[in-house]
Parts: sequence; C-alpha cells; structure tokens
Amino acid sequence: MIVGNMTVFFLFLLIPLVILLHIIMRRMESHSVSSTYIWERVKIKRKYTLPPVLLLLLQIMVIVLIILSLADLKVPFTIPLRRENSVLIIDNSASMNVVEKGKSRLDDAKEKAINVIRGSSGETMIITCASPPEIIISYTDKSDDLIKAVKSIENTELSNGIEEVMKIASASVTPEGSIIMVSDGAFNYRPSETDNFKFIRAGNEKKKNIGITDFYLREITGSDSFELYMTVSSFASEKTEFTFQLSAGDEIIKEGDYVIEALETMPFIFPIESQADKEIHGRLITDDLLQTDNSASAYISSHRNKRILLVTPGNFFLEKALESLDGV
Amino acid sequence: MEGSLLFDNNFLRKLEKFSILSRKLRKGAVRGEHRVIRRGMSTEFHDYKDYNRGDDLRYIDWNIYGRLDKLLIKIFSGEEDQSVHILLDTSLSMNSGKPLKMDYAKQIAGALAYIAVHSLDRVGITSFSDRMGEIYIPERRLSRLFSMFHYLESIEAGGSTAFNKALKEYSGKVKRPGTAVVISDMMDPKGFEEGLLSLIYRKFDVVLLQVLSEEELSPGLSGSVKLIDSESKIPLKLSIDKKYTREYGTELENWFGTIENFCRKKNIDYIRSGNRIPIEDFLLKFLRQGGMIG
Repeated sequence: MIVGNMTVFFLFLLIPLVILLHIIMRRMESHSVSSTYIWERVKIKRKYTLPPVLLLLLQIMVIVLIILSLADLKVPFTIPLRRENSVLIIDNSASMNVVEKGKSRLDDAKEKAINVIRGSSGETMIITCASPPEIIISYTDKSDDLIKAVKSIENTELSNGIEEVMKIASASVTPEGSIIMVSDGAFNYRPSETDNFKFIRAGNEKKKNIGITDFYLREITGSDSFELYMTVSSFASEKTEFTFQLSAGDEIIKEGDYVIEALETMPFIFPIESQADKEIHGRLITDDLLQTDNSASAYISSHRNKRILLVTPGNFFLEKALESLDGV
Repeated sequence: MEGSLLFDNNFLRKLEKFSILSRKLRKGAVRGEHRVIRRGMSTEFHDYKDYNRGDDLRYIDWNIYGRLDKLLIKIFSGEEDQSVHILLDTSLSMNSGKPLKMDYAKQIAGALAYIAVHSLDRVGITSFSDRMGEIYIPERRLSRLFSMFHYLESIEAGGSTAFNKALKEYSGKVKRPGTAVVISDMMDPKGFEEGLLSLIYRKFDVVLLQVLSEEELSPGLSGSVKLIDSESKIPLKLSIDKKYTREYGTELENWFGTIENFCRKKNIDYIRSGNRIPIEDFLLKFLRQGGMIG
C-alpha cells in the first residue's frame, strides 16, 4: 500500500478529540423527577433512536474515511479480475532474491499474487518468469490450489525469461483475459497493446543493481587468442559507478573504473591471449542490491574440438574452397 | 372555627358557602315521589307542577285545589345524608414541584372536608400509596375536622403509586359508599381504570382530581439527562431535544385524552390542575364550574 500524503494522518488526532467531546456532551446531568412514566412512553414510541455509542462510531468512521481519501492511498496489487481467464506470471529470476526490509522480492511477489488470486473470480494459470519459464499450475478457479502453487515457487539464480514467458502467456490467454505479471521490473520488455498486460511491482520501486548480462569467449580464427564479449546492464534508477576486474585464473589481466547510466546497457570486448585450461572470470565491484549477477566466468580448454568434414573426391568446387583454407 | 397551617380563616369562611354536590343531586332535583330508601334521608318541598295523568294522587295539593280549583302536584327535593370519601395519593411522586403537589393535594382535601362538614355531610380522609394509610370512616362531627386537619398535616409522602390496588382495597373495606373524591397525579404505569371501576361497582359517585406539577406539564429539560424516578429510583437516560420535548407534550395530551374518555364513559367527574394554580382559584372557580361544589 502506498500512501500519497502522509501529513494527512495528523488528522487522526481528531478522533480522540471527538471521543472527548462525546464524553463531555454525554456527561449526564441527573434530574430527579416525580415519575418517568410519560418519558418512558415517549421513548417506547421512538423507534429509530440511534444508541450514542453507535453515533460515536459513525463519527469516527466518517473521520477515518475522510483521512483515507485525503491520504491518496494506492493499493497496486489489488487488481480486480474479471470473470475471464487470467495468466499470472510470477518472476522468480535471480533479481527477485534481493532482500528489502527483511523480505525478499519473491516473498513480496508471492503475497501480492495471493491477493490477486483472492480477488479473482475467474480461472487463473500461473507461470514462473525465470528462464526457462515453467507452468506451475494450469487454468483453475480453485483458489486454494492456486495459492498452494504460488507458495511452492522457489527462488532461482536464473535470468529473467520475460520474452519466452510472454509468448506462452499470450498464447494461453483468452481474448478477454489478462496477463498479470508480478515482478521487480528488472527486464526490458514492452508489452504490446493487445497483450492486456498488467504489471504489479514486487519490492521497492527504487532499485540499485547492475549486472553482467552477457559473457562469452570467441576464438579468433587462425590464432590461439580469444575475444571476450561482455555486456553490463544497469537496472538501477540512477547512474552507477563500478570497477571491472577480469582475471585469468588468479591473475588479474584487466581492471578499470566505469560509470553506467540508469537502465543503460554497456558492451565490452576484451582481447585475451591464449590462456589454456584457465578460468576467465569477470567481476563487477560495486555496492548494489544483488551480488549474484556481478560475476561471470568462462573456461578455456586445451582440448579443442576438431571439426572433421568427410568429403569424397570429385567435387571440384568444394575441393577448391577447402584448399583456400589454411591448415586444411 | 380556628384556621390551620393549611388554610387561613378568610379562606375557610369562603368555603363555608359551598357544599359538595353528589352526582345524583347535580343531575336534577330528586322528586318527592321517589321513596327514600336510605336511612338518614328526608324530603322537603321544592316546587309545584301541573298534574298529569298517571301522577301519584297522594302528592296532589288539595288545599290549592280547594282555593284555585287547579290540580297541582307537590315536588320534593331529596336531602341526602351524603358521605364524602376523600382518597389522597401520598406516593413519593406527589412529593415534587413547587409548591409540592402533596401540599396542594392536602389543601384540596382539607378544603373539601371543610365544605362537607359545614354542609352537614359525613366526610372521611384516607391516604394511599402502595398501601392504604389510616382510614377515616366518614363522620359528620365538626370536632372530627380538627383531627382530620392534623392528620392531613402529618401525612408524609412515601411509597410508590399503586392506584388500582389501593382503590380496590378501599372499595372493599368501606361499607357505606357515597361520593369518592380521588386526588392523585395518577402517575402509575399499571393504569388507573381498574381502581376507578372498583369504586363505581360499589356505587360510589367518583370525582377524580388530577394534580400535576408545572415541571410535569412543561418540563424545561434539554440535552443529555439522566432522569431518576422518585419512586422506583430507576434512571432513564435521554437525549432531549426540541423534537423530544414536543413528543412529550403530545404523549401527555394523549394520556389526558385517555383519562378523559374513560371518565366520560363511566360518568366520572374529572378535573385536572397544575400546582401553580392558586388553591383558592381551583376550589372556587374550577370546582364550581365543574359542578363539584355548589
């Protein structure tokens, strides 16, 4: 629940004031009368007299309602579902392991997903969003089964498989249905208008995380050297400074300081001399929420694969082409 | 006659001019042809009327016939030895108002007793609340008046109102009925009908004098109040606004209407008074206008 205007909560001080006024107003003045006979008769005929306590409760309720309306409360996870079928996507990728205020984003996502299920009146299907996606439970309107399925979702160290999961969801959802995703939003996907996509944020909207999203070696043809292709992506809401260290085994072969803008992607290409049987390890040194995606490794093996092509003689064009290559 | 704490001598002298009229007398003159069936009753000449066929020949005035050659019938009025039973409500609810309803009622009772004794009627006073007080059997002696006045002055309010029970008990105990003057505020949730009917069944002429305080007629209460019933001591919590006060007035009128209708049906004389109306005005004006005294 998001409170848009916190200052309005000072109006809650009105409640004790109302109670105090009520007590003062209700302080009964005793009068001795000859008989209450006529008063009793009037009271009996008065059918619709509200008890004073009920009046007080109504007054307090009115105050609370006014305060809540002025507080500009937002309940982002309570999307009322229509009777139509819905696909509920729960992100359990590595970024969902971030712990904020003592609770992981995945736990927060599960709670919000359960709220969605409780507010749903149609059938719901649940898919996890890590790569590869997994259908946890197919369409059912049994909320107990759905909640049980949500609770069974475990955290992973996998990347986000938003594109794959959206393909599955789009194929599964009925034309009037909706796709509801509960995630921290650490992905670059823009749903199309036709997806009927609803997004529920898990965890804090303000993020501070960068990660290595691509890391692979390519052998340079005709030599023993390699090229390292690496991409660093920012999921932070502001620019982030980081130090990159590249090591081969225990030896640091490259180190540098960089700055990446918010939500930007920064590609790197590093040439690497022959480092047979060594682990090439890249590491981002920064203080962000998720350390897991700050490191990546690749291994250069001395046992290289030999590609063999069996060719029967007599193919003139193929023979000429193979002759042009060195080492063949 | 010496004055008392309740009345001054001038007022008592005014009262001597009046006498309590029983309902039978107020209906019209009792004709001489009615036989006197009660002891202590006598007849006296009242008037003449023309003889009509069927009239009792014994009542033709033959002397007139001899002188005027005209048949006239003598009419007699009944002079009844009347018993006046004054029943005074002394419950705690009577102990309110300024002046106290109780004192007001005592003054009415004393005045009626005084009028009755000076009219040579028998008079007795009995107090009641949830039980009967000392019963003064009606007597005609003037000397008894003093003791009755002292008794009235000594009565203190106490107990709750048990209107029906008290009147039933009284009507069962009294041997010789007459005119019963009931003085009460009638603030009894159990009603009043049975008590008055028990007196009517015993052939009483019933006069009902309801005494209410100004606070009861137009209570000046407002806001949140806790009303303590003087008799039951049970509190009643109310939030009184203008509407509630109006409804009180309406309910009071309804209650008066109920009493009036009942009394009209049962030939009971009913007079209501507030305690702020001067006692002399009430006795000399209201009772005379209502025909209670003449």
